[in-house]
Amino acid sequence: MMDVRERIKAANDAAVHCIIDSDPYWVDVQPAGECVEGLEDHMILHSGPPIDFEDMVALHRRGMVSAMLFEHWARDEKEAVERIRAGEVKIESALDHNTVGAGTGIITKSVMMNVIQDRHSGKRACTFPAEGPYQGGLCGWGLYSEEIAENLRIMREELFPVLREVLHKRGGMALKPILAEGMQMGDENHTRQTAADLLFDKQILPDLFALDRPKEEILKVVRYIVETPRFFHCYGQGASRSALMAADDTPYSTMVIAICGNGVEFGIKVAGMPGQWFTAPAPMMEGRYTSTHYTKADQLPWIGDSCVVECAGMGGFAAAASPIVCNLRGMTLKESIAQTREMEEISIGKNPNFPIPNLDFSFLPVGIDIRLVLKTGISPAIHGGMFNREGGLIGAGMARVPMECFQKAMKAFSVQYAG
Amino acid sequence: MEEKDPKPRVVNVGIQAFYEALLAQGVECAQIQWHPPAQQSEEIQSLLDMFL
Repeated sequence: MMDVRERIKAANDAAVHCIIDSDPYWVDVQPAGECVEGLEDHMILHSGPPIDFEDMVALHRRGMVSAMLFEHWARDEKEAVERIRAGEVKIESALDHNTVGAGTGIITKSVMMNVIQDRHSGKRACTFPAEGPYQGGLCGWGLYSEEIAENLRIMREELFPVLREVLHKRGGMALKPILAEGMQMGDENHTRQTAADLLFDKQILPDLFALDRPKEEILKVVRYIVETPRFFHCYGQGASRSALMAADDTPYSTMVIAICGNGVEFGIKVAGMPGQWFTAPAPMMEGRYTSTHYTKADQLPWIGDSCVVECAGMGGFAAAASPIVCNLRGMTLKESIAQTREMEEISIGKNPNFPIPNLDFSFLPVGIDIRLVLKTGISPAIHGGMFNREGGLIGAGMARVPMECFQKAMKAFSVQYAG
Repeated sequence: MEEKDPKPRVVNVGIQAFYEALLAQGVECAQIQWHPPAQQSEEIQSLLDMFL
């Protein structure tokens, strides 16, 4: 009979292979109400661990109001707040569903979502698409205006039917080759998707132009894709989330399957303890601001779920692949490589899908083990964008996951699995 | 007797700032990444002994 250490090792091998063997495809574009499991009418999802409306940062509270207005559940801000306080809408964490909330992560039934299916496990994850000229818009920045609502309508009624037709004609789009090749071209797939964006365009443009549709309709979609910065970011998150969903509920596994913040608290989830959150105060990011006018006082503690990509062995774990991103923080190539080497010490395995030139083509580390984090004292390095307390991006950088999250997880693990 | 090399050559273990300070002074220096073992509470340490 296996002892507990052997069970953990077998479980972690299985869990990490859910990531390594995943085969994510972009398969569809659907309203959230049809593809996000458990998303009810009059429900608003948000990024980070669960939090009450009264405890939310201003960005999240504004996002809740924006969602109420967008769905016509309230006529104005006052009525929206009254209805929320009266408990007329349910508020839940996006990561407690088959989705991921980038930025504020505001998701309701009517917004359109990309559907990413892992063909290895069959798991389907949904991610909110970039809002074109509004970038963060409703989902990312929690904003609402007539222009943002009109843009979401255009996405739903004009752009996505075209993309849907392309997807159905070509039988989906494989995302893993784009992630892998992009990583060899200087992306780490969290802060930087420059290469992945171009590889994505190369895939989709010929199929778009082959459609039997008016040229202006097609050009509108082309402009949306090529003029949106970091267009591919949501696909990397969807690919990661679908793989991590396959690893979720692996008994005895100590692998981390979610890392996220809501601007107040930061949380992780662990494969062997499904449905449980392990939280600590949200950390601040260290990095560079887009303007010398910004200081720490402007910066919001970590908000957003995009660290699913770190859980899947990208972002901060792939620093060696992207000295360009690390140099934003003044790091050298050597230091970028050292960051990935450091992450190896807390990882379960290596991902043979990602051979990295700067590592002499050795593979990136993958699968964060809570035990190794506690043993080494090395906390996962997570890349991301800095949010202004008032909204909008003001920089990019890195943070470390609070050690308290891992300590709480280890204690809960012992309660569940000791003896 | 062999003449000593007047220039020091340093291997720095651990704290990055020491390495950078030496480089800034023109000293030939190699850096080895190292940090002391993590200090955890007795409770966490006993759980690591049990599960790792």
